[in-house]
Amino acid sequence: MGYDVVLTTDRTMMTNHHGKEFLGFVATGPPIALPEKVWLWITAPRPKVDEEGKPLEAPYGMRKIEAKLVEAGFKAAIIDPDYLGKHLDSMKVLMFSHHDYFAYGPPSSEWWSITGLEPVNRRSFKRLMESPPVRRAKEKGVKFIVGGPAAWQWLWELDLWKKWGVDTVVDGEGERVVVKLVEKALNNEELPEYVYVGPSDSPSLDEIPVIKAPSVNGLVEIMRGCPRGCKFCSVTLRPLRSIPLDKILAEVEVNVRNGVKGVILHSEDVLLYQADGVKPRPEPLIKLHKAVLEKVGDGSFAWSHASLAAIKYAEEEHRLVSRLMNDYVLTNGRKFLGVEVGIETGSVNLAKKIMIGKSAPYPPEMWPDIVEDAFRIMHENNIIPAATLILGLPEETPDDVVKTSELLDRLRAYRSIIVPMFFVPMGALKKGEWFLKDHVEREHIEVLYKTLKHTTYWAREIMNKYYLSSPLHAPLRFILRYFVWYVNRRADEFIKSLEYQLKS
Amino acid sequence: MSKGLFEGALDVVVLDVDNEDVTPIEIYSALSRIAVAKKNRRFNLVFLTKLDHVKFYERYRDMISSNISLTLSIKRVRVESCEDALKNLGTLITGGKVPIIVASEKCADLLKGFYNAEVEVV
Repeated sequence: MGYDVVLTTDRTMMTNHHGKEFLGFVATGPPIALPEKVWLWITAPRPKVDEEGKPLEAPYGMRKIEAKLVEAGFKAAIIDPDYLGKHLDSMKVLMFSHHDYFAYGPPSSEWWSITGLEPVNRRSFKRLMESPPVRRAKEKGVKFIVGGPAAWQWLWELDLWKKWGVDTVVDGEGERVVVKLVEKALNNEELPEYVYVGPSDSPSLDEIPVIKAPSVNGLVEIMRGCPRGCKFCSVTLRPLRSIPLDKILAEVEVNVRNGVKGVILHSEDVLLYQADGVKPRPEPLIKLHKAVLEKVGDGSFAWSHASLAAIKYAEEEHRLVSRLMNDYVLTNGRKFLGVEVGIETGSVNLAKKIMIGKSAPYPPEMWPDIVEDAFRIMHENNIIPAATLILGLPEETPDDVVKTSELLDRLRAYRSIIVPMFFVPMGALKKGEWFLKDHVEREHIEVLYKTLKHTTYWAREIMNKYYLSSPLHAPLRFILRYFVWYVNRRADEFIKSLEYQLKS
Repeated sequence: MSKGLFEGALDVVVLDVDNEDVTPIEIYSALSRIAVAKKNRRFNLVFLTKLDHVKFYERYRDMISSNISLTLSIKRVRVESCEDALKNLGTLITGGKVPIIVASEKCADLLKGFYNAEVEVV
């Protein structure tokens, strides 16, 4: 079958990361300690594809756009980047998506600013755009449309936008505009260069299609948007919508039927599914977990994101976290649940300035206690959080950083990964003007050191007992243990050099 | 302008043939005023400009990236002079709805023409 519209992305995205979603983050770093090929094997093995090069699993956002186009009657399909050449004859529109095209997002920019080396995801995407099939497609007049959560990064890579012949950049939720755009491209009508989809054009629940083929590691969206209004996050600008359970189950069914037996429930805050404002409600959450886990049996299960305030509230008011874990999630074959959470700061003052809604329904004055209580609840229930901290925000004071450092001491006992992220002005990395060592203060060094020691300490246990405990993962476990050892050793030297620079 | 992405949205043409006269913040301010006045949050924006691709987006990047409440479809048409701009505008105006113009003062003759043609100038 010839496809008029082909959707693709680079290898770091078109992969299932060995079925371990968290390994996807390895692509956000530069290839240090190991050759880039080994690095890519760890983070982005080639996916299973059919004879046309259509991957069994593909990034969820691309599946949504594919479904929207197919429902509108277009001949559209997601194609693995290694198979683009097979579709050059029929292809009229080539669409790209990415979570982090140019490594300006966190934590890519963090690793880039520490090492001064381009992260793997950026290298990989540039290789795709310079590859012979993509260049041939442009030469024969194929229209290029790019989108996805990192679309904004094109505004900081104008030369590449022009050089690669990208016709349109779409920034924002795509469901309402993509059909019109592709129609115009196929009719050879003029395309806008940039489309920003504002909140008023966010699609309604009816306009969001059900995916037609499996998503990477069974990820399914249960909500869109976020009500918390943090200043550093764009998702919060979009209206909050909970996807109806029948649609969620239909997508889980698509995955399971095609052999993807795990589920990642995706939301900015899973526990707010059909919540009462920011207060989790037991009934919809239990119904959701029961129905989804009945479909996947003993398959893997994770939440993409949850807020620490919702974890505390759900457990303390309804014993809900332990009920969900003990009654539905934990089984003989499933011994933990992974989730990303945001600490961001240990300072009440900074929390009030940048994320006043993050602690709700509790007051911001309670933020450090909320964080510790939520970490304790997760530890006791075999939930393993990957947490982020933000350092170097323009409004940050030394006292704010000291408060974060004190909070890290309180979290030492709880099984978790904590990643510090430095606020980096956009565009500065590309010009080689911004390096961590030039912007770091003594208090930052202490926080960097504590997070490093915390994370490398717990990483060993998480890898050995939980995340990579299967004998099948022995080679991966071995390489990653070596990598953790290497990072630990080199990081000590890095911290010392930062301290030396501060003294001199 | 009938070829704008958002049917039913306002069409705004920004004349930028002189490069310096219309600042991004003025355009954003004009858009916001129009949005409030017309109760419309979607715009097809056409810039008639002397700037090339890179300079154009460097110049207007702040406006685009901070424009969080609007839905924008931005198209750029390169022109060398007010006369070129007028030619393009002629096509745009006859092609569909009458656009709103955010204009450079240096194209005074054009502005006069727009007033006579009852085209709204912000």
